[in-house]
Amino acid sequence: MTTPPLLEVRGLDVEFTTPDGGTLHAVRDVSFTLRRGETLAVVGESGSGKSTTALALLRMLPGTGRISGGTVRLDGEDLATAGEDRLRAVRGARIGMVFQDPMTALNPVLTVGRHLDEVLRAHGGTDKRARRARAVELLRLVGIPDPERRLDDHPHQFSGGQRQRVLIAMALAGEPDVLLADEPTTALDATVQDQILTLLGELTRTTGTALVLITHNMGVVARSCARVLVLYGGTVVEDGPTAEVLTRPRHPYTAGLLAAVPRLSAPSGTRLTGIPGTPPDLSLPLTGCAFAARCALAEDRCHTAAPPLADAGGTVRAACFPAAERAARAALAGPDEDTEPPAAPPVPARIDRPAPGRVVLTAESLSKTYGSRRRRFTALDGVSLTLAAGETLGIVGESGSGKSTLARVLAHAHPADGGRILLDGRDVTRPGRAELHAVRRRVQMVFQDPYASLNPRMTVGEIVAEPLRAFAIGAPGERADRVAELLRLVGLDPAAADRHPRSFSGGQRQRIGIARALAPEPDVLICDEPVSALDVSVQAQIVGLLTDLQRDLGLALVFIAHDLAVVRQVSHRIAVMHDGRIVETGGADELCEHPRDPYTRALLAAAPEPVPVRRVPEAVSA
Amino acid sequence: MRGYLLRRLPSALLVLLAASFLVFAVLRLVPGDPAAVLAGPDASPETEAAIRARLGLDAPLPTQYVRWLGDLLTGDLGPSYAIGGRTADLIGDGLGATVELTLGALLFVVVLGAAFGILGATARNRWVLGTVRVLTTGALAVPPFVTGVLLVLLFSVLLGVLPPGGRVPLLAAPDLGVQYLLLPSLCLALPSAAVLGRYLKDGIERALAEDYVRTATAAGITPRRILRRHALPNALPPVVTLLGMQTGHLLGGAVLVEAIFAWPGLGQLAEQALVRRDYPVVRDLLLLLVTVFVLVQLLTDLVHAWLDPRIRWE
Ligand SMILES: Nc1ncnc2c1ncn2[C@@H]1O[C@H](COP(=O)(O)OP(=O)(O)OP(=O)(O)O)[C@@H](O)[C@H]1O
Ligand code: SF4
Ligand SMILES: [Mg+2]
Repeated sequence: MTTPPLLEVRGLDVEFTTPDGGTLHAVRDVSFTLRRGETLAVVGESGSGKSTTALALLRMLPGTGRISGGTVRLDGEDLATAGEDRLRAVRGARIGMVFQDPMTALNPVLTVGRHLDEVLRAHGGTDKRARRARAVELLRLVGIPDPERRLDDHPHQFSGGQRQRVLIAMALAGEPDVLLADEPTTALDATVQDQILTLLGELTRTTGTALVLITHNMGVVARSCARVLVLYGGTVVEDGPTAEVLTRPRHPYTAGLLAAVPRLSAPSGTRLTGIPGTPPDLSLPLTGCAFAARCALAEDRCHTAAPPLADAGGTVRAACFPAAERAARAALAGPDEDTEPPAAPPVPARIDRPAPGRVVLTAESLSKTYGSRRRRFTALDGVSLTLAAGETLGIVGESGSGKSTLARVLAHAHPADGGRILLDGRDVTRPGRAELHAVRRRVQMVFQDPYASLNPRMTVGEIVAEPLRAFAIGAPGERADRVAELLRLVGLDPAAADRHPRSFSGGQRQRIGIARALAPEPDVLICDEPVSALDVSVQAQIVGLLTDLQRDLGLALVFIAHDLAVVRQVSHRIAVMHDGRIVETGGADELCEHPRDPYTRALLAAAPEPVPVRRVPEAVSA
Repeated sequence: MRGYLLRRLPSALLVLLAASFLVFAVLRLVPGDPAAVLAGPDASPETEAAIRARLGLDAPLPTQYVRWLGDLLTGDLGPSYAIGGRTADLIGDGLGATVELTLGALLFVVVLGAAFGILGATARNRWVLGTVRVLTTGALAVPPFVTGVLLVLLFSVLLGVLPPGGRVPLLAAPDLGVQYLLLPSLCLALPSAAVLGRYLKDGIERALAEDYVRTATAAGITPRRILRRHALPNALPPVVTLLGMQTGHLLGGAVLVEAIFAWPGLGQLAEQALVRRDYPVVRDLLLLLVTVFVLVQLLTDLVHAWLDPRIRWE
């Protein structure tokens, strides 16, 4: 504990200027230290300032961003005030960075060899042959097979995971002391994510590079880092050893966040607990605790004074008044007396849901190919499934496995090339015009991207009323009432009808999308990655909403996702897709606990788990 | 790369064949019998018939077409009707002059366009940015005949350093030839240079905002190097396509600029041939123009494919 810190950040403040001239205080008084060889996770929800903090360390803030206070000391030298030349000498050589999206972070017109060569050149590699040899070595280090040959390939000839490896190789080329990785695996499938995290772990162990891993995934934190920094609203709310923080969170926000994370080990039908409310608006001045508006334990003082980051027991520090006081009391009482439960997350509850009814939707050996003669791509290959009223069928699989194609074919957005679709036993594979209309009304879709799937020029009321008009449901005069009813059903204020989608958060927009899908009173709702773009605390709210709607309306749900843990909790049955085929179907718990197909086993093994789950009480009704 | 060329070649040849057919058909469909025009209003029907026979205009149209294609392949295009001399020589002389003018202009387009584009995208100095903006806007807004007159006024009349018109072939006397070439090619180049500059500026700015530039910056690569190695290679492919299209514009613009600077090129020849209804010269000129366009297009695509590996693999 006596080695001087490698990187010491003190009171870092970052501000942006908003388009209307206001100030957005994105990072507030962030302090942390990093020692050689240490692995630190920075975790928090979207907009909490993770990326901004990382970019500020390298003084690479985008747009109007500026460091408005604090210091960033690297071996004593303050980077917050260093000149451009000094910064360039630090970037890549002392601090390397890996960015989130491996698809766009590499230059499409340059070979991978050139990418590495440029970096090696910038760090003093003068001999061309030596640089090439080093590039081969780096590619081998990050696990690219046949590196001599691959050096002359362009990025589009590599898979997503391989591109991420190339980016890591680039970041390591200058042999930095610190590696900043901003969501390095978020764009990747679980099995690939697993490989990349393993690679990062090995690299930091063998090279002694300190790792700062930015993520919103608690499972990734648990798997990869010894210490964790929890950000909320631009401030550090908790900082401590991962094992401590994840099993005994001191800050109510950390506790809420953990409770919201779906656990793969939690059985089907477990209700996820979200955090009510939304994160603070960073363009407004903040007095008091950033979390006060959403905190169940908030007291009067929380609204008027900001809690400092203080000792909260052990080596954990938390920015919360009650947590600090609890720790102080425990310290007085002696080391073994710390029995007071910290901010306890609510116990997971079972969803009370009726048993599924009769079969409404059947698919028999559906097939679908895309592309032209030259490049054929089989998206669906003999897919069969059944779906009963009141039942949720989860569909999991990695990107490209055909999940979305299946969703679109089932919803009659795309025709199938072969096979049959039966609705209530009637063949509707190739419906006539009138029948198609009727089928579409009964089978509705909810999409992944709540931003892209709502027309920004229409008001929320118009969006929700659109299917009512299209299917000529109700008299025009009654539609406004129906829209208000639908908005209430999905947990929105009916007054929202007059506003435009852009003034809503991601979770609220997804609620609007669900209200639109429910408008024609469908029997089947096909949800294609409905929560993948959302933060965990919001994901929990939306998943809860969908299950409640199913219980109340008897909906049959197809729930598509790549996160096996969410799928297990919401689904009665799960189908695992791989290369256009369903490789395994079964009861949700059965499939997760006794997987039969090797691919299912690989998926399960790759899913990172945050912490062991607590026992869930048995549901009262079957 | 060779495979890409071989794949593109058949369609280019097909376009040329179709063009030759169209040119032939259109010119034979316009009213006015070339033989009658040549013979003059007072000639006897016998003279007219003799001329028609000598020019091969009495043969059936398909025969005439095939014969013409044969002539094209051998390069012997026969005599011109009205201007005098052999068509191939007339076109050859004009072509030399026009190619010289166009290439000179192309050089200006590339140099000025690159300067406008790179400065516009990367300069931080307000004065530099302002100057570039004013220059490009001006070059776009002012038509060539005005710039032509202004250039002549400035360099020939006021300063007296460059000749106001005419041509000395560059290959015959390089030092003198350059003096004659400078003003017309600059005048021809300005609008295209401005367009190219704007395009390049946008391309560079877009490339600099890309994620891979952030990757490179974080790796410690200098801004100059990022511009050269990352931004330019990405900004260039569409600019090359644009340059190809601008070459077409330059050829068209040459007609006008040739008139301003008394430059004896194809533009001048075309004007003469049209006025005097010299049908074979017009016909062969038109086909030549199409051929140049097709070649430029092919070249553009090749360079584009060479710059952007993703196309080669399609
Ligand atoms: N270029 C920018 N201009 C203005 N504001 C910005 C800019 N980039 C980020 N912000 C703001 O800074 C705050 C923090 O954003 P940041 O990207 O650091 O969050 P994050 O934790 O990385 O989120 P995510 O998980 O979505 O990546 C947000 O309120 C965001 O709107
Ligand atoms: S300081 Fe108060 S509002 Fe903030 S987290 Fe602690 S109890 Fe909740
Ligand atoms: Mg981020």
